[in-house]
Amino acid sequence: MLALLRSPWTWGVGLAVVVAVVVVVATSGGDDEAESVIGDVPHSPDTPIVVSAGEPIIIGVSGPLSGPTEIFGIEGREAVAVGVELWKAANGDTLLLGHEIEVHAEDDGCFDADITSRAAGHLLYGRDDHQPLPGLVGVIGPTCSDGASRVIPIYAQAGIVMISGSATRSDLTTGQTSPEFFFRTAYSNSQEGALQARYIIDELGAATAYVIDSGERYGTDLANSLQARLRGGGVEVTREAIAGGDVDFSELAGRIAAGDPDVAVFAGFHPEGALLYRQLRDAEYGGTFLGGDGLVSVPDFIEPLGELAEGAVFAGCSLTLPEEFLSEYVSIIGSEPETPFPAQLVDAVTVLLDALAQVAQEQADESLLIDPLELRAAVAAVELAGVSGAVAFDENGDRVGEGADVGLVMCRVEGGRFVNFDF
Amino acid sequence: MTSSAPQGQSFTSRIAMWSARHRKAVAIGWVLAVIIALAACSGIGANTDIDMAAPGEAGEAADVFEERFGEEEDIAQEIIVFSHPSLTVDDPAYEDTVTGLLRELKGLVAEDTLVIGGTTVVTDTRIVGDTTSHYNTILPEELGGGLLPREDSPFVAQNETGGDVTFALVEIEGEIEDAVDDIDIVLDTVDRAEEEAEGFDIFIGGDVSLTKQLTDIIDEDFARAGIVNLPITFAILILAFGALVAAVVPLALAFAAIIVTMGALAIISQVFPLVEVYQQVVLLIGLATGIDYSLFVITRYRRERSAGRSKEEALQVATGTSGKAIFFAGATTVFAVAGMFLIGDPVFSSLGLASIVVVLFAVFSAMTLLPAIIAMMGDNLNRLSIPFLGRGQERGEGVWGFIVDRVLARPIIPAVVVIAVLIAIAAPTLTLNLGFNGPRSFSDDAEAKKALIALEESFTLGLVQPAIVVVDAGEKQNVFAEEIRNSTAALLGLVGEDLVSEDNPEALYGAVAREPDFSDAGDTALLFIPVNGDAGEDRAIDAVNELRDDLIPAAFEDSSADALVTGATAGNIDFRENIINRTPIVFAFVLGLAFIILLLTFRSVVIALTAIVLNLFSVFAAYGLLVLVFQEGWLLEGVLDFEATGIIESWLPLFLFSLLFGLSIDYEMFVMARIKEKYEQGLSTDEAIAQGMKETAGVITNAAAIMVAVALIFAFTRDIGLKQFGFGLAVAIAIDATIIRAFVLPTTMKLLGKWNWYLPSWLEWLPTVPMSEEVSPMPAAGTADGGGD
Repeated sequence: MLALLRSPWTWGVGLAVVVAVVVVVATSGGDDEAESVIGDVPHSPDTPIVVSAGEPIIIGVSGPLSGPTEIFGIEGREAVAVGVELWKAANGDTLLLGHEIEVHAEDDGCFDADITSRAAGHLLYGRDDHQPLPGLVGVIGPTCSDGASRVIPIYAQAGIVMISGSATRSDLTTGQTSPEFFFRTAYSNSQEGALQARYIIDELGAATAYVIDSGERYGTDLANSLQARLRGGGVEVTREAIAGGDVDFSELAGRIAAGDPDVAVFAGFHPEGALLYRQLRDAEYGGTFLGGDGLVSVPDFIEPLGELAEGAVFAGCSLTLPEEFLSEYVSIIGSEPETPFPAQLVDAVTVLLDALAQVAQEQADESLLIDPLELRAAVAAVELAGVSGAVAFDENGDRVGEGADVGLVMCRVEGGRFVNFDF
Repeated sequence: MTSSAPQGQSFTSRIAMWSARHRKAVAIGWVLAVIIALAACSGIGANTDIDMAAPGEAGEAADVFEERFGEEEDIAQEIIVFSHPSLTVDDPAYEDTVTGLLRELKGLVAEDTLVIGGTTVVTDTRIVGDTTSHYNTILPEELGGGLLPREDSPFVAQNETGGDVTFALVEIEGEIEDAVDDIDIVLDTVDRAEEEAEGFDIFIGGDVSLTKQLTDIIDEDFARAGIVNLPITFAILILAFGALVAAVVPLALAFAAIIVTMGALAIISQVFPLVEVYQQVVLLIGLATGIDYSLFVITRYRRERSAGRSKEEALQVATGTSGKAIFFAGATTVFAVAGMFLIGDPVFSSLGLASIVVVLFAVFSAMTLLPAIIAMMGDNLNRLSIPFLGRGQERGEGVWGFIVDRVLARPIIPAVVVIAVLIAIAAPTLTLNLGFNGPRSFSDDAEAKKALIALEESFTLGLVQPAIVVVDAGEKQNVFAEEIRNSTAALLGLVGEDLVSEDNPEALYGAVAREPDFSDAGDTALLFIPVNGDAGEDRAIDAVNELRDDLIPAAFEDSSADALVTGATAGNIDFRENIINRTPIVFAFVLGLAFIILLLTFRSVVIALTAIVLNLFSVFAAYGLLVLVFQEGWLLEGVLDFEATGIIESWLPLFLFSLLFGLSIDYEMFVMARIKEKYEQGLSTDEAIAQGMKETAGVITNAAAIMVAVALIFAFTRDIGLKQFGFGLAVAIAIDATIIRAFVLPTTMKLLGKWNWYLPSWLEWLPTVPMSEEVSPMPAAGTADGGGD
């Protein structure tokens, strides 16, 4: 025996066998791995979504997680998680038809539609270093309108339902091809512009208004909506546009201060909004400043401007949240939301999960089969008593209702907080 | 070892004997402490999110920045340099390459998984934020719009072959500490783009990539050094003890102290964050003191055993004499290192804290764990002995005994010669040029350096670390107010009068390429002005000084706004200034406290002063050699693999002083304790000096050799600052343990004679700390094992 062990032939043959086994194992493992990484997940309205046995149901989230509007995306992601938690609690089960619910949030660059489009690609088809998400059942988002307009056709082509809790541009829903896969629990700019106009005309009794938009399509759309109604109401409107990234509004602020309109309105985002507001006040403009939902952010407006922010008025603020919901939210996230759409986002999740529970078919092998068109139809037909009010969609995917019924309220900065008010 | 403590024991031997009697409990206690420490390290992890508060104007500017921008640090930025031998930026292929890569970078994401409530949330966050390149430089409408002509673009220069070099600024999301984890995918994408873009050289460098690559390099260096150093240390210990088991014990004790320290610091750092490099400092000081302290005690224990004492008595003597010296040496080290807190810099404070904790645990382990181990092992310490090694050292034989005899026979000549040599070595300290070695001193192994070199060749290195002017409009204004805009424009105009170009290579500034940043409230602007040079170079320093002293006062003379200069160069200028201002305070504190401890220990003003003066000799000799080697580039550039930059890191001398004073005082303390012990035993001063010197020569040589070996780990890293630190520490210890100890100390003490023990009558009230240990008379030969185990 010992002699055999000492023989170089024995060692040579043994080594060859070991190498061969290693090669075979490595090669077979490599094939499996390669298939799972680069394998495509076919997405189309006619192709059922399959959630394999033991795999989680994936809810995609598309929102800005970095850059100047990141607070909207980060809080959006948190609100979706809260929505999932509340749905699980309401249904008394941590699983949906035996499957975990997982959230995948993609940073979508907000109004950078190229980035939103790439985020959609990641969710639908994976990326170089990441396998696709076969259990993707729907997407909450995008947060911002410009990104949304680019990816609505992409998700529709893939048969993936999108429910945005915050993209408000009016034409996002109306431009869809049938069958429509985009819905929103948020109100539209058309509704927000109407509310702003009503405030300016009825509450302020304004005769003159200076309306500035951010140059991108969300801001332009909101400003257009407002402007049309103001002019219809007999208010003299001066219209101006800035460009994203502009910082020096001293000349514009000087002109506005000199013209002294009854109200100055900005439709856009921060940091432009906060900078414009600051420069208006420093130019001694004393009239009302009115902003849209894109400006309602504690860290981007109230915190940097401090006392100077007091008195600024906004449409599209966060609803006064029910006590119980707020306490659940704080217990899960650790702090209160600072952006306007948590209720709409939670409702979006509830709508999606309710619809899913309704149409998903459990298979014998414990996988789930979901018909995209059935899921879309279930979402379209939803009637929910949500956190943001009664949720139902019209034929375009827009929320049915007006004003506070669709979660649209106004607020004013008072004592370092956004305080809602009626008029 | 079961008998009760005899009368007249010193406190150190009482602790030691208690530990020996309760050896199992002590050993279990230490094992538990190590386990808890390991759990703390892995479970909690040290908090290294240190608030790098800068002193002076740079610090004020940083405070304004943090308050107005709500962030601790500016956006991390990488710079990508493109160069093609023939294409210009106007060629579509060039544009496609640049914009294509930037587009690709903007799509890169880092994946993170959170659990919110009970829901798993996988998040892909973009790594790259905004990018700026020549292709974003748009002319105003009134000038016709379109891109800036390439000859007017601050982003474009021509290379030697007629093609264009350009660069792009790439913002990396998140703070540097977090961004470092995600930078690899960015670097890989750039590498791939270079491979695919025919003819292009594409390099990337900046805050994040440099931090990542330099940290990796240092980690590699320490990993490699550990592999080399530990065997060397072990070999020295084997040489010292001549037995493998005895050699293992000091190493084990040092690591026990280091691990427990790391655990303690993981917890402490949750309240008092530590600077990243604290681990290396803990390792250095932990190994140095941990091994040395054990070495001193074990050596004495074995000596007493071989002299015929029982195990218990030998342990009592060893811990009552060497143990006491260790206690006071440790205390001196702690106080010396505590001087770092007086610098008022969070980096120094955190290194001071880390050093103090590890020294305390090293002393504590030598006073408790070591006696317990000795009690458990007894003469098994001599197991696995190696013939001919470790013999005779304690008897004062060998080269040191020979030297001491000669020196004591004729003390004046060696004293004069050696002191003259030391003064000559220390003299270059007068030309010490404190500063900051910038990116040019970085290791060539850091890939990001290629981008910096490319930038320097065609633009300016200052683009990487520009001077940042923080324009603070105050509460009543915003920075877009006309008078502030005018001042800002005037400042940029003045800077523009001295821009680097082929005709004016020595200009102080590079062309401004990065757009200003503004706070959300519009009350603060950041202007990024590239200085024309490496952050530590004279030209960069001149530029910042000119900005502060001339250009800003001129431009903002009539402005209501304040303008403060910060950035790497400004921060270093202010840091250096702070160090220089604090140096006398730190010196006075450390020397004063050391004097008091030495006075209390030896009850002699002269010995206390002698120890301090001798220590200062080694410190200043080390400074002198640092200047010669690293500032002037003498002799060792090849050996240590560096290029002299003419700059000694401004943090180094004071840091080295605190540390060195603490570490090398061990030797003086140990030698003088032994001399005093001999004196107390009735020997004359001369005899006590000779005996004390000889008996400690071997162990101090070994201890110093170990400490030098540990310090040299730093000298052979690829970081110039650590290199200077390691070299300085190694030479200072070497000088202290050889020239000072063998020549200067004996001659000085010999010449001082009975004055060595001088204590003014008004200090007679000072307590007496005997250096000898009262034990029963030496037993007769052949009964050495009587103590039993």
